[in-house]
Amino acid sequence: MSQLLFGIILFGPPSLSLILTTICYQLSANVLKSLPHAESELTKIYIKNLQFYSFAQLLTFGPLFLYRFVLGILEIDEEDINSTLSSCIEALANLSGFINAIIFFFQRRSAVKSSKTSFMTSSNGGGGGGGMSMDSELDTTLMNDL
Amino acid sequence: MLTLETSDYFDTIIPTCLTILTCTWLLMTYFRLQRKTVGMSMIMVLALSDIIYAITALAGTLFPQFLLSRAFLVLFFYPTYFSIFFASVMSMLVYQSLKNKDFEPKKFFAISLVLTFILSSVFVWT
Repeated sequence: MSQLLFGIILFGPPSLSLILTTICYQLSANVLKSLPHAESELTKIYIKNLQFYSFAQLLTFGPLFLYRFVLGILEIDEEDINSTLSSCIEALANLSGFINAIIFFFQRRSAVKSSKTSFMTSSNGGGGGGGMSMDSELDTTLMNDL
Repeated sequence: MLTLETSDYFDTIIPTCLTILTCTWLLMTYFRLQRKTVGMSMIMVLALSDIIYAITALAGTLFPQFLLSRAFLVLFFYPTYFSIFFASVMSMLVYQSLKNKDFEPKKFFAISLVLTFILSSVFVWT
């Protein structure tokens, strides 16, 4: 009984979250396909990146949960386990914030690039979006509420 | 005298320092933004959670006596559960905002934040 509770506590949250995220990702991808291209390019980038954050969190913290679950279920002492494996899992979990920041950095870059392209095409190639700061461009072009 | 092994640098010190630095940059960027969208706020919450996790992991390595305290257990496991739950909240928000024209992301964000806090507390204290 205690092992079952232990399993639910350690394995329940990541597996439930992974299932839910995958379902939502698939459903969102289907909805995105039906959005008109012209007005949704930035929205697509933004939404896809939000999904990347979810998966990045799951992929970095998921193995840690799985590892602890396996150790607990098999009643293995952490000292007896291959230290390279545990080091990799710990390092991955510790890097989660760094991975999120990288996604954020590339999201900003692609959003700015995309907003510049749309600005140039809408103004017949003139100007090239000069005078707008990166942040204000991002602010004005991202989805209204989201 | 604290003695650190080579593996400590690779699995904790370097990754946590990278996380702390980049999350600080992320938070600073968020606070500089003129219009704070719900999506950005969610990223900020995740960054905050990751930074707490990284600082706790780093403190646990540099100060081994901290590992035995209850504060370490709470500060270590709370962000772990929170991040896992919040990941699915993010994808749900994306889907709902695409599907529902009358969807209120700010309301959803506030409610889901409170619920994630409660759910994480339940798992941590169990």
